Amino acid sequence: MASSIHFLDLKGKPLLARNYRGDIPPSAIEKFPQLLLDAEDESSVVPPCITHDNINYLYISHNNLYVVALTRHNSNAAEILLYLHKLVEVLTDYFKSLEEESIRDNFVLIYELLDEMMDYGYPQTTETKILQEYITQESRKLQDSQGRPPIAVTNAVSWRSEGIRYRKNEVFLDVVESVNLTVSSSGRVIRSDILGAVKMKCYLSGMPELRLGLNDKIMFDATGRNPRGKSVELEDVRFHQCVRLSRFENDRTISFIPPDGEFELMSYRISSSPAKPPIWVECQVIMHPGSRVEYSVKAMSRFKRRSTANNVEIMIPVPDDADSPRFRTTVGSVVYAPGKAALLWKIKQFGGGKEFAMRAELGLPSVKEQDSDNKAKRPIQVKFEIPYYTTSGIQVRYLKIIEPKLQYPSLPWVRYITVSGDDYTIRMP
Amino acid sequence: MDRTIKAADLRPGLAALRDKRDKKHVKKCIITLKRIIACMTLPNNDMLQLFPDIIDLLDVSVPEIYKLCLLYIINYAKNEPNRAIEALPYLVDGTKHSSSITRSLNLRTISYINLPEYTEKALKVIPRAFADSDPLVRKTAALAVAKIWDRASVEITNSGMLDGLNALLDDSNITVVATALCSLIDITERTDGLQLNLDYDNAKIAVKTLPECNEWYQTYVLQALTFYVPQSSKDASSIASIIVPRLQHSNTGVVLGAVRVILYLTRYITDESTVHSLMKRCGSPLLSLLSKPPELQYVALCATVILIEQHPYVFNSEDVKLFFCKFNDPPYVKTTKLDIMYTLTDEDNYQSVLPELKEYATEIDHEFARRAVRAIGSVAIRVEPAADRCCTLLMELVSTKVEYIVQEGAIAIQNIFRRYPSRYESTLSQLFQDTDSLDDPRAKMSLIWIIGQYADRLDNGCDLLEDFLFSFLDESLEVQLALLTATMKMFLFRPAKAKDLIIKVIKWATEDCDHPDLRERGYMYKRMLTGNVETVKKIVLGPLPVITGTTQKFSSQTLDDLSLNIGMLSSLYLKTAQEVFAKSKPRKVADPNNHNTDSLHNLTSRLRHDSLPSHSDDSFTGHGSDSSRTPHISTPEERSNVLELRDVLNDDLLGLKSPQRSDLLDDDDDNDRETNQHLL
Repeated sequence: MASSIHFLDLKGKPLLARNYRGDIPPSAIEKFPQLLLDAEDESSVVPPCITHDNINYLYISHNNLYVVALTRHNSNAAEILLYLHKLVEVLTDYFKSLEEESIRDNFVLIYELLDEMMDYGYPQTTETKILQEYITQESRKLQDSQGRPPIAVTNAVSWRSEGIRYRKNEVFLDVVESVNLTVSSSGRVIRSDILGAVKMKCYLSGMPELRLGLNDKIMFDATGRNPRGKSVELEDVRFHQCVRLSRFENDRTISFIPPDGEFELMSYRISSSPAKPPIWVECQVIMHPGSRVEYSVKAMSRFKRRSTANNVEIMIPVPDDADSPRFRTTVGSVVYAPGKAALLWKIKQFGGGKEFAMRAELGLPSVKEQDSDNKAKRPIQVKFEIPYYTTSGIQVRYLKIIEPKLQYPSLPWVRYITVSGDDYTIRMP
Repeated sequence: MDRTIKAADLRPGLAALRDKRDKKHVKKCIITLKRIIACMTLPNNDMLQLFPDIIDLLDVSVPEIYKLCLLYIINYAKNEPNRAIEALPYLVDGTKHSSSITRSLNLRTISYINLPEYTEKALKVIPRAFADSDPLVRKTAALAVAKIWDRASVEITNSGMLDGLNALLDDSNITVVATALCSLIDITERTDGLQLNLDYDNAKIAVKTLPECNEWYQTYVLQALTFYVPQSSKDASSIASIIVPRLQHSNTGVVLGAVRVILYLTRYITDESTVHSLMKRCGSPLLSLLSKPPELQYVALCATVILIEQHPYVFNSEDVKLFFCKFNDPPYVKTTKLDIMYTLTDEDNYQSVLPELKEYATEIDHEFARRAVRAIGSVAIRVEPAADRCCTLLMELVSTKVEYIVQEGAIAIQNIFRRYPSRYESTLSQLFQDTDSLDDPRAKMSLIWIIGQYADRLDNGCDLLEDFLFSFLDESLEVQLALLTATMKMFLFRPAKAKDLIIKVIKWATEDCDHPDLRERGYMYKRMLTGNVETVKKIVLGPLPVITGTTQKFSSQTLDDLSLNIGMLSSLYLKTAQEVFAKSKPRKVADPNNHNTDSLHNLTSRLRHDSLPSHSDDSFTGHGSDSSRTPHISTPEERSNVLELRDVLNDDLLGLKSPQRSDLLDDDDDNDRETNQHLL
């Protein structure tokens, strides 16, 4: 539980606060910027919680803000930190983007939300869709209805309201796989894993019951059914709160009443069978200290010919005192980004089973900068997206939609896409 | 927001509505109120003077205006208690409003404001709200009890409100039940003599509510379950098995809460294989939390540190790769991952871990690089087959001549030499190339210790030592002590070569230095030199205690406490709850074999009868009556004795069992101790 929640700007100036328990003096937050500085001075390792004078400061940063929770007790840190993230999420849903400006413009609404989302320091309802039903910019709904809260606030189905109606009942499923990869400077795959997510956009009336079938190996094995085609071993699956976990535990059935609109139904991880990295990059560097540096980069696609990777971006770090860049490439465009001290090689479309090359040469100052060995080592970073393709081979076998009362026909749509994860890196030689 | 806005300028905007009661002024009034609310965050209390105007607005029956006024009152009640009291009748009226949102809002506000008059009213309003038709109001009432507990615990107890709160545990609405549990935990956790206590049936009901609770309430219910004391291994495992599916929730708090309860319950499960399979289930979810935002990763990583110390088998050997650092991980994540990597390193995976550690050792962040070097050294000590690779790696690192790497490397190598005597001495000479650049005393001490210890095998040992001795008088005390001892050892190994050296050093130590320790050790050696050489050798070159590697970081009591607090704040500091929070109640896992089974029947505690003394319980004075009815939970005094404050072994987790940094001194101490005995 949190005693109070504070929004601060980057300099640590308080913008807005809500005190829930009154056991911490309001002055405590004023110490936060200094405490953070002190902690940073003392060590490069500053955890997301600082303690001072028996007060604990748990914080996250978002855009140009700090969101801080204070507590005096041995509170549930996982709960508080997650709540701070959820709070940012909800406020972003409300205001499009959460930053100093939008806080100043929406003081009253934020106060109301803070009041509703947390009581006595305990998180309550944090579903934007439900909150929007009774806390709005205009507060008009409050007057219109009899002032009853959405039933979902206290209902077992706390994520969906009753009485939703759509003329056309549709569901969009997006299976998004993010591939993370670390390649050592000698070209060895150190780790590679897939983080998958099934995201949904649900436009369904009433209280529909959904059942999702995947080519899940464990389920096939358990039921003894022989699947046509490949099945996938999902190592660790986690679900949105709407999914009946005990049911999944028993027979691996994914059944749920979905929230309205967009949400992430489930996520999974596959790391045991390292899949072939979709895009492979090799880079050779020839240093001529004091005069120039040469790069020779090769990029290869290792997925099926009928797929295509879009918006491929390969970022190659270069010394930050380099100048006068020259490039030659067989495909795409190269730009030098001095701000990032990197070359950016962009390829709009990268077919499967292809190989492209790029050469670059940059000038180096004749006087060597002091402690240039002491620079942070940065890897090559790769970004891409490959539509209609999953690295793992996961497939949606069916999505059954039943609304017992309304019994309408509905249309499920499925899309697959593989993208680079936030850590798709090849270390420089 | 306009910072120059003055309260006086805003007053007319409020007055217009009040004076004319005209609907068309409503909008203007709302806009004005919003500006006032926005100005509340300013440090000056200029808006305070509008309090009377705000009170006047309370009877305008426009919900939005009312709501805004409440925000104002909440904020300024402390500054103007008398004014705030004027608002109270409106709030009390509001708790009878037809709209449940309004009822709930008023109840929340009344219980929130810390003024005696408000508390008094809250005591009147809450019992009525317990019976409200809308679960939202009942839920609000449940938490309201916790809110006023500090201010009115006696009144609450005497009025039977706690019974009312307990009765909410039977509510038809799950949200109300979970909130009541949450409120009870909140109260009992900060009240001596009150203890939440669940029996098997309560626990079973609680776990069954989990699937129907909203995600946050699930964390409260899981929290409550750690207050359930299983009476048999079977009970514990059956509750645990119902919790297992929670591990697949997407909410980090729920996952860690589930891990905490399962870990707690396994203490009561006697069947090893059940424990084993339960803990195995906890591993994978923790790995998946590593894809969450860094702050949450950190909580999960700290939980992992605790978990693997207790159950090292939770992860498979190759899982260690998932803890490899990403280049953009924040330092606190990297450091904790490094600790875990080191702990998980074994005979099967060191081949992939060591190159990674070497990579980290050359990172720009010095602190992190140092830790990586230290980790390599520790792996060498603990995983014997890896020692060769580690030694080669460390030599490579030392040859980079980067100062802090050499420093850490020397310390690590010194430990390896001690762990595997006469295995790696052939590499010695490489170590002493270009040692002039060293200035960290600890690194110097390590190198000096090595020179002394292996004086017989270092051909150029005397020259090396002489280089170090050059600056003897400018060195810090610990380096001087190390030099003195090393020179003594050198003399015993190579009397001819080192004779002049030892005379010189002893002279410095006894005549030119002020520190008593150094002088005394100097005199001691001086006197010893007049004795039998063989006896002196026995003393100075005595066998060293063998060091062994261990991954153990915590004492068993600390570990017990930590595992009960997985996901809680104290686990992020890796300290016991009492160390961090003086006020926190000590927790201890009761010994399941210690129950008085006869009293079990009396213990068929419905939560409401047993957990809290009711108003009619005339012995509600403290722990006495409570503990007599619940023999399996010791009184607070007893418990605090059991859980004394204990030191966490050391702040950096890569400690060897004998802490690395003091090895040299320990060694010297050993020598001294032996010498003393001899002299006596």
